Amino acid sequence: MQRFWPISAFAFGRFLRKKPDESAVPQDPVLSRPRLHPDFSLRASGTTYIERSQEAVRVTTRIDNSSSSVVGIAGVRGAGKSSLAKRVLDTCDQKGYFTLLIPSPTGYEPREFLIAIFQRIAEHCIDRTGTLIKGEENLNALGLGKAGELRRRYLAIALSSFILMLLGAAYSGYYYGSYLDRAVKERIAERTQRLNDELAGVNSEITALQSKRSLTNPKPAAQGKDTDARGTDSDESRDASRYQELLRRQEDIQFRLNDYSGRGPENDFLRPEAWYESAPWYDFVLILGSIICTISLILIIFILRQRSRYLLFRRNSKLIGLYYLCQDFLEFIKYQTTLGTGKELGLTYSLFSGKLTSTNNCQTGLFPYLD
Amino acid sequence: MTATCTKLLQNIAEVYANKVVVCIDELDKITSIDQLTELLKGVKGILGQENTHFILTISEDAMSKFTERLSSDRNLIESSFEEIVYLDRVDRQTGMHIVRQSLTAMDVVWGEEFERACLLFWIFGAGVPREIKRFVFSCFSSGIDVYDGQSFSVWKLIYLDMLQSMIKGTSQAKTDDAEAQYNFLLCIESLIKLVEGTSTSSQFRSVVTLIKSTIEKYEGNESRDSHQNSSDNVGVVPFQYQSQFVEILIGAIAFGVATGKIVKQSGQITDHLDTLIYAYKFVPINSRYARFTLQQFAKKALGRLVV
Repeated sequence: MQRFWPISAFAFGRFLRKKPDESAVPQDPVLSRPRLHPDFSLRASGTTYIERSQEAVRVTTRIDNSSSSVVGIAGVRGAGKSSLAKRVLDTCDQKGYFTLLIPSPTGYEPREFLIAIFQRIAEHCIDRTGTLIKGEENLNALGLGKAGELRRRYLAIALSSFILMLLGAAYSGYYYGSYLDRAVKERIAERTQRLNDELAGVNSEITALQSKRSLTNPKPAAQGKDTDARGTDSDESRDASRYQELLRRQEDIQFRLNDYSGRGPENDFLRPEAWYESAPWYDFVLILGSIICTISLILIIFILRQRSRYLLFRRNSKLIGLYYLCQDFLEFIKYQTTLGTGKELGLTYSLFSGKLTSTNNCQTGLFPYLD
Repeated sequence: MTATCTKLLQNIAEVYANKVVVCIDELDKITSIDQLTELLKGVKGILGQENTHFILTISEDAMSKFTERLSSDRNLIESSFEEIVYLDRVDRQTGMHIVRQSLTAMDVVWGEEFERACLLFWIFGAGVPREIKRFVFSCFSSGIDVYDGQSFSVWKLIYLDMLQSMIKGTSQAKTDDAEAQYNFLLCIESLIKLVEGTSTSSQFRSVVTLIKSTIEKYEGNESRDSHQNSSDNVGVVPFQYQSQFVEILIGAIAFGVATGKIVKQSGQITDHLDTLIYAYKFVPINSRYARFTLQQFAKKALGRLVV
């Protein structure tokens, strides 16, 4: 036990140890200073730029109050030229202007440089307008978007399952009910007919017996002592018993004509199993109905999404137009670059035909917007 | 092509509040004046279009070369840019602001020691924000507390770093310059030993005098070696390491700031110390003029500033 003391002391000490009183601990003079979080980054930043003589304000004012301008920022390396430019762009961005920082051109040959600038402008424009179509591109928004997509997916599955279940139940219930109603009516009619026929037979037999002999005034039993008399008595008694039996049967048939409680062999059709056995194609009807319901649901969701997309496009028609225009413009630049470098000489026929199509798109798709 | 691009810009401007602001950064990487001229001629077609605003960053060297060239090139600049914002080296207050911003200590009031450390960062950084931040980080990573009376440590660290970088940054000399380079390296090594032996109790005048005499000794050797046949050898001798010596002398003067030997006198300190930054500014352009400025500073300012 002695050996385990340090371990147990450590384990229990974690729970038993009191939090030290911070006021009693002597304070380190360095640590007691306000907590600092230094930032030694040397990168250009608009937020950390320190103005010397309101130069950022001056440039921004010029941009605000002139239809066009070209401003140069000169200075020694490390003086903050890029930071000043970023500060100006940040301010302009807050005002809703289209801003773009082109950090490093790919080449300094004038034509390439010009193409690079406009390629960057078009790409940036697509990025900015594309957020409307594709959503935000920052990590949080992307993660939330994906999470929302999953949520929508499982909610759609749950909802569609529930709706399918409801629709299936309603459909099958309706179908089964209507089928049952029709079939029960037929069976009841058939059964009523059968019982009526049977009753008519019984009634005719009763009538025959009544006409054959008056059963209402039978002779006394003492008078029938001879053979004929006995024989006659025997026939009469048989008729009488038959008559009584027919009367009971008549009464029974009349009772059954009004009885649907399910008792008796003629009521067997009222059992659901019997009806299900009599309709084996019912499963197929149910599955078909479910498939139709699912397809309908998918179509409804698709139509609603398309409608929301359509409304988005209608609300932001200019931005969407710009998005597609810039995409066409990038194609145009690619085409121009390819022409300039002569890369199409080595293309196969299929790719060449693709290039022709692309060129055609450029001519028919881009210029109507620009001209 | 340009017409199509211009149309695109107009379409973009129509969507975004009628303003397209494009900044082309890092044009200052182009040191060749001819290349920059060609580039400006090439892109001039898209500059100044309706609703478009361009901001271009240009190196100070290129700008100064432009102004020195023929009027046709100057016209190109003048016609291309409506306004040119020159970002000069920052003053003492802005330098201190940058240090405090780097340390995220904007709301904290610090004492004279901290201000002295900020002065050192500003002087050694030559008023260039990026250099100031770099020196602040050097001190931070070396564990030097810039708040509590460690200005001398700040000075020593930065000064030694500067001297050692001069040795490390020296490229292989040509055959005819080998001896001059050898002497220069010897000079720097002796200066490093001298600085390492300096303490807070060292006299400002003696430190400056020692450093100055070491340099002059080297300059004397250089003078004799390269101008032994010259009969008109007067004053300061121009040579390839002149700019480094100006920086070394400025660093020596900064010792006075670090030890508090240079004190404020009726608000004139700012003007005088700005002369140091002015000297720094001319080091890459004309090191002889920078040396001259430094001499003027020593004559006019140090006499009054040294206690």
